[in-house]
Amino acid sequence: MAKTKPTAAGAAAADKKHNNKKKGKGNIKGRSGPAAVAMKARGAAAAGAERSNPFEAIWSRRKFDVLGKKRKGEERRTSRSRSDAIHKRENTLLKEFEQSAKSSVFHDRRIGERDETLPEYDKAILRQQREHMAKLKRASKFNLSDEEDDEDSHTLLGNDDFNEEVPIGDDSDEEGNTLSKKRLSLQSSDLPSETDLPGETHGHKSKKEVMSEIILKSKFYKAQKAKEKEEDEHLVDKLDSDFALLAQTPALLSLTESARVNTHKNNSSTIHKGSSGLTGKEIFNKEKPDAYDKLVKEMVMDQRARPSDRTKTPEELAQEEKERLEKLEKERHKRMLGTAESSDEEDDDSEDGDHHMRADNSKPISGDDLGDSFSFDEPTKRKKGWVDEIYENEGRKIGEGVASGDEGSDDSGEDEDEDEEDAGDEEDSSDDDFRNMPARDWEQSDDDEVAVEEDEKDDVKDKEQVIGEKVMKTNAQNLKRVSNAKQKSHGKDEDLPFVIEAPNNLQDLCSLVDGRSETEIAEIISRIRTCNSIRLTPENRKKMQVFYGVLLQYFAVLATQSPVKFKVIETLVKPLVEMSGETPYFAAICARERLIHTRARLCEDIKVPGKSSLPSLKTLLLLRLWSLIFPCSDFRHAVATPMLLLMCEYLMRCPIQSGRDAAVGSFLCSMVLAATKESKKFCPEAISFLQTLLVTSLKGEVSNQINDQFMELKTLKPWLHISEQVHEVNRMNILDLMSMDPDSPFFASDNFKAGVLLSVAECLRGFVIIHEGLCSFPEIFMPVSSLLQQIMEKSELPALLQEIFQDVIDLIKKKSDEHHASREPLQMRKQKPEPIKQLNPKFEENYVKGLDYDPDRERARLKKLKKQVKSEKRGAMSELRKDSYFMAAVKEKERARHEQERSEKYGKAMAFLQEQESAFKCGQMGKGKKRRR
Amino acid sequence: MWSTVGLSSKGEKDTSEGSSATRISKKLKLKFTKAWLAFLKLPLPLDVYKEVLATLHQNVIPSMSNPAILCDFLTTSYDIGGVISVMALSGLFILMTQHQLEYPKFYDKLYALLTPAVFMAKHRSVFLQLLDACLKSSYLQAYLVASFAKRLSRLTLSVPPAGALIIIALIHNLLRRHPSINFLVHWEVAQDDGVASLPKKIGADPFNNEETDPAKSGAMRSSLWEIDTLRHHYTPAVSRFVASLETDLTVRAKTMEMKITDFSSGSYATVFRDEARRRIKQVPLAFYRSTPTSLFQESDFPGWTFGCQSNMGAQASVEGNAVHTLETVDASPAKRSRV
Repeated sequence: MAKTKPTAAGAAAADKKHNNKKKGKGNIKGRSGPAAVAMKARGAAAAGAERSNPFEAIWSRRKFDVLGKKRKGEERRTSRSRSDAIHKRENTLLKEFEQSAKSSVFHDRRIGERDETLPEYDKAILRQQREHMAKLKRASKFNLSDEEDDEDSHTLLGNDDFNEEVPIGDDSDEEGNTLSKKRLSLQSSDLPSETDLPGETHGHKSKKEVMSEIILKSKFYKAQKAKEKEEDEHLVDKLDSDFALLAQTPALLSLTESARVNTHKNNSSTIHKGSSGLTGKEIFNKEKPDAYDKLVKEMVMDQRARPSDRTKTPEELAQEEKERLEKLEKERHKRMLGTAESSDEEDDDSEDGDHHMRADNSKPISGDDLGDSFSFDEPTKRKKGWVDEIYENEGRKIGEGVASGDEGSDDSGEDEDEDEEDAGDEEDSSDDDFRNMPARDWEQSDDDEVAVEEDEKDDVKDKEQVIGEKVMKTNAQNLKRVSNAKQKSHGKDEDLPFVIEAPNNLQDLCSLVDGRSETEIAEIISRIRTCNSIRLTPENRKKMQVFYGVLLQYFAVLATQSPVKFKVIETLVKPLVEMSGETPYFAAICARERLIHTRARLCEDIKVPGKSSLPSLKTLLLLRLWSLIFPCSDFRHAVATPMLLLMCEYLMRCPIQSGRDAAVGSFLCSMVLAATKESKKFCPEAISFLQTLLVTSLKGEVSNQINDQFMELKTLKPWLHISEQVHEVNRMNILDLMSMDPDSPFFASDNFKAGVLLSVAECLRGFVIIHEGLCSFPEIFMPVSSLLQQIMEKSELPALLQEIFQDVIDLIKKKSDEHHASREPLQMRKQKPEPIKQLNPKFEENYVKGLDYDPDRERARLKKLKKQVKSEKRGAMSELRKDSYFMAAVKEKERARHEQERSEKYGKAMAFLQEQESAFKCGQMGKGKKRRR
Repeated sequence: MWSTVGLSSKGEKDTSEGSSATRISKKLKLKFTKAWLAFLKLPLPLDVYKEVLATLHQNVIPSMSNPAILCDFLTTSYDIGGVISVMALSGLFILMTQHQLEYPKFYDKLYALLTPAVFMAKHRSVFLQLLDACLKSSYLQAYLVASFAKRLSRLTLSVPPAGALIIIALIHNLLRRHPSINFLVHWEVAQDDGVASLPKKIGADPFNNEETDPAKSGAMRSSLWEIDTLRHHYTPAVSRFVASLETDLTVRAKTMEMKITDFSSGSYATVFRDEARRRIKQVPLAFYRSTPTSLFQESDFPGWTFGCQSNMGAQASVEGNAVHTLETVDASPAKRSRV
């Protein structure tokens, strides 16, 4: 049955209803047919009577309702759907079958024949229209039109509203004109038609007349409407003018005035306000907008007063504050453990790590390849150039400093200088640094090969650069303005202005705060901050960022001045901390860039032998400021982590070249301690540095080292060896120390040494307390303890120091013993016990039958598709089967018809023959004879 | 200049043809070797000596007729100790691997070389790669490997973060190659009998860091607590990296050896750069009940004062009270500065 296939396939999807229905006959209670519903709908559309025929329907009666069970398709009309199916086949399959034996096909191309929904009448209209159009197209004057046709068309059309489209009869005169002309004539065709009217009104009116009548009527109504409208307008105008006159009278004016006052007072009288507003508008339409109008408009725009929260009591405020702090503390703790955003951080790690590794792979021996080269003459040349360059730089800096004269601009100039030169210098220096010191192998070979990598700029870097450029620009302006600013500052009177524009360069700030006391400076800064608060306008953000940068610069400048104005510096701390809270990103970027810069300087300083590379007071203060601003306890922080790294690098790489260095290093250790206190992070550098300091206090016995940690790196002289008994131990003042010359005799005094040892011991104690939980606590601190013991034995420590040393030793001993008692071997591979697989049944809330609850969505989808394919296939198969039944029935019918025909013919022939025979037998007697007769 | 000699000898070999060419090159090599031997016999100043050691393995040994001759020079250099040994190791390694040099007590010497200074040295990159290569063989005795692992881990208590990273990578590789030393990180506890169910407590670390003989170091009874300590390292990269040792390295199929070259060139510079170049995602800020008005609080910095220059004379004498105050101060350091 090749013929049926396309039909079946086509019908398969659309006529699922059929097969469903058929199937339904077999299992009535089973899957319902959407067919029934669809059919029902169609039935409703087709005929209402059919639906209620109970004899056609099959249904099952339910004894009770089952919750959650779909209840569609309980009723189905088998006979009807079957007849539908047969009917459909008759239209499609049967037609095809009939055509199959024929070589030619009859296509009915008559208009409207294709569309079966069109009734005969519409078909006729269509045909007529087409014919008419064809006539118009011919455009020949001489074609005679047959009036009969037109008349017919009109009668056909009847009284429907084809007025516009269908030509009216009188164009028969002008038959053959163009369409446009005819349209024109349509409009003007009233007259002739009207003239015609009286003549033909008798009996029934013709179509033409009816139409014209309708048109007339509509025209009349239109005109009437227009007239009415005009009259209305006139009336309104008149009223307006009357009212305007009326409004000029004092009575009404007073009324409106009072209304305005009322609206001032309360908003509640909206009705009155509304009406008066209207009148106002009406009255002063032609005049300027009134103040009242404006007022009304403004009031519309005005914000309504909102109910505010009641003022909080101090207890509530305290409670809120406490909650806020607790929340912050919780977050901090989370960050400290590194659990927060650990996932993406890990991603980053892997990414970064990969990147890093790849970068390293590209030049895997960059750490030491430079030392291997044979080229000797080049390095020496380079070396000279490099050293010269440094001297040149310094010279230039000094020169500039002298030129500018002012302290502030000096430093900023220096900073700038370095900024500018860094880019140039660092490439050179990174090339050079190994060739310069082939002999000093044990020297630190950590270097700044990476200090500046232009191509690694991320957007943050870009941003920073933009800012840097800005700062650079402002600094360039600085130098120009020096003289002006100074004059200004002198000429200024003493009282502070209340509104201060945020200074956008250091010079402005200096001129603003020069010669002011600390409280005044604090006041100035707070005023600048209130005037340019970010909350006021978003543009202030930029301003404040610039101001923040300037303030930070000022902070740094103050730290470099020879008599350090520590109090002024302290006043800057609070605003800086608070402002960092307003622009955290900017603050972080500033801090980071400065850190990178400081590190670059450290790398340079280390290469110059004999130069103290430990941080200057400025760096120390900045580091401390950042450790106040940013939480050092975070597991990983954009600023705190690099800062801690830098501090440790100082401790690890910088040689101790004077007593001052020892003191600075010791102070740095206590800063590291302060930074790691909360998170209890382990800093090996700090502890080994303290250890080194202790070793330096042993004279001569240095060779007998407890362990040889980096001792070679530090130039070990007994910097801290106390030769004579000191009675008093004073705490050291770091600010004083920093301002002293490294060669000052104070650093050789026993007082100083005792002070440093005191700080070392205190710092050690801090570390001991922090690290008491570490697994290898004994290994870390036992050498320290024995070193302390040695010092106690061999040098003449003051009583206080001895006491503290002993204290620390005891503490270490106590904790070590604890560790020794409790320490267990590692069990890192310990697997968590796996839970036994549970076989408890799982229940689904609000279970719906038929929904797929497979947790694997993909599998569920696949299952659904498979199910669909299966049902489609089944549907197609049954459709084909029914096709073949149908065809068999048709053929059977045909065959039966043929059979019948044949048997009829046969019967006839037989009857004829029998008649003949009988006639013959009876000797031409009987019928024939009779007939003939 | 030495390399040019070596190169020119090769160049001549190409130009001349046939057997004469090989002969000439052989002669040249012989002369080259002789010259070098003569040179090395001279008492060399220290910097030249180091330069020689640094270039020997790359430029000299390949062009020598019989590199084994150098073994005396290299072994004596290796015996010197310190940086000289580290530098001689690369040459010695070539002789041992390519020229069948037997070197007794090689591992003992290597073991002795592991000092904190190595991780700051200039040539650490090559040295650490060689170290990894030397410990690659899976035929090494467990005690030796355990000693190395333990010694390396002990070093983490004093080396910079980059060094700690390398050490973790090295230990990772060691643990993977030698499942027999798995006990260093995981002490199996028999769970069946009640007697042994309590984990055995090791009080003091049986490992002796001062012992130069790895056989006697006592590492076989120890455990890598230092690695556990590194979890609290201040560098996030290090404390994160420790986690790589937590995976079960005895299952070889599931683990990969770490490439030492990825870490060996690390330094403060690289670690700092990685941290400083990180994209700033969020900047949490420290919070205070009341914003601090001074940079240094003396309670945070025991042993220091921060008075102004003016009251220099009025430095507080801390005779008696220091001991008492510090006790209390240190007990609550966190509470004081924050919250």
